[in-house]
Amino acid sequence: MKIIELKNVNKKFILHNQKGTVLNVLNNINLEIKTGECIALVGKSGIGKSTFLKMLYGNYLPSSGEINIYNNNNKINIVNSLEHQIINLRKYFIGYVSQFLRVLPRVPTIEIVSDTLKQQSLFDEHSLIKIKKLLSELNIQESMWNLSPLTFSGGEQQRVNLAKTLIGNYSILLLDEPTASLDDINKSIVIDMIKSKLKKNVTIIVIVHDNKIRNEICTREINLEKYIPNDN
Amino acid sequence: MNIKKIMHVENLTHFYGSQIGCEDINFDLYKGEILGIVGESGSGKSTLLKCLSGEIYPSSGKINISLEQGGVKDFLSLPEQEKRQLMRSMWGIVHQNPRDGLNLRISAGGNIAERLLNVSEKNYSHLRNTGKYWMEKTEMDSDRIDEFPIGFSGGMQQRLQISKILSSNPQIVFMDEPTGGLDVSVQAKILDTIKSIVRDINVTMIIVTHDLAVVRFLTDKLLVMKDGIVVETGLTDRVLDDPQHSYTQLLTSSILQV
Repeated sequence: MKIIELKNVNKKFILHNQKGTVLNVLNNINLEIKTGECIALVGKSGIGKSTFLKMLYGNYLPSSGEINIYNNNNKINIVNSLEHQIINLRKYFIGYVSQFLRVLPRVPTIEIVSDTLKQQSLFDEHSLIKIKKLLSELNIQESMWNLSPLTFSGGEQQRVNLAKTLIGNYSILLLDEPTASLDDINKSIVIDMIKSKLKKNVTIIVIVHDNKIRNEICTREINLEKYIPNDN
Repeated sequence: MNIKKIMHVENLTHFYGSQIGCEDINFDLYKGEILGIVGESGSGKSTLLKCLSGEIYPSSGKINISLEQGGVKDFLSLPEQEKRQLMRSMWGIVHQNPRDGLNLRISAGGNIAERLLNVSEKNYSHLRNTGKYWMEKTEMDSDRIDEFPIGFSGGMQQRLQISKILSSNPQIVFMDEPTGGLDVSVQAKILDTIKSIVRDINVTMIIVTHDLAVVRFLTDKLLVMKDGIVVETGLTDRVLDDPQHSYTQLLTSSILQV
């Protein structure tokens, strides 16, 4: 069953304050992604992999085309949906892990992770145990749970960022280099977590440079080279 | 899922004499949404907020309000008395300067009760309990309920003002630079408080600010204003991360990195 569909999607950036420079990034994307697939986005650096992911999340606006998300029998085109519809989709359906953690200062790690469950109205008396288990599995020491992650190392921040999204019950996960700043041990822990999401039939789209990881988890590759506009 | 539209604004325009305050504003606000209005000083954002909250009467345009009990009213054509009643019971305004929203000569509890009395709550112990509940919810020490807010810090006064407004369970809250006059250390904590309350009680809010960090953390959607008109609108992070209009691009690229 298809869960994501892109129809004639184009993306260009017009930099009005930099002499009106036009960056034509991706052209004429037509593709479908089925429930439970794990897609690797590939292509050289700067080709638009993060841009692609951000368009799926509604964070970047395609210059034209449709991006349809199918939730049971509901179809939502996130290019022209109302804001509250996209927010609702993000709350319950699509999770996104960016390359860098972005949180309010002075909010403890454990609250940041709890927040996802509270937003999904899934927070109950068992939640804290579940959150603590996840943080321990990701090797975030107990002494750090009540601290803001803003002072953590790059790898620790990335794991908090992952915990924040992986704790939730999403049908689609968009992961932008989820293992980039992790050591080998933590890498394999995160890979196992991604695998267990796939077992639950979660659809995953991931940017990952490591061939080995890609072969281990991904069911298909989408190479963005074929969407490079001719004029570039 | 169907979310109720609670405000519909059409061609709202206000002139100060021949000077444009805001012109041809259109948007819809849905239940539980937080709308941010950003722009530099003089862009018309405060004028727009005042038109929406009933503080000034716009030159032309339409504001339709959905009532809690059902039905839609044309706000601007209501009789003055009915308008006042709506504003007192359904709406709340959080001012930039807490002293504009509080009575510093009555106790913290009295300030909250004053608001509740407007919505015909008269039982003393209930008033007091509600006061304490909201003080705690905004992370104040409820033992200070009998103290006068004149002795509170700026951050505490702002928390008290927010308690006061939210205690009557308003349908729409208007905030004008809610963290504008506060130290950054206090600002982050208050933003976090507002954010968690918003999630708990599903309140609808319109926030005016020039601070893009505030809108990123608090708001769902944005109106970007310049010279009295809206130049760009959309999902907050979309507008900030992929701005389409040249003015929004200028605004987002002008933020200083710490």
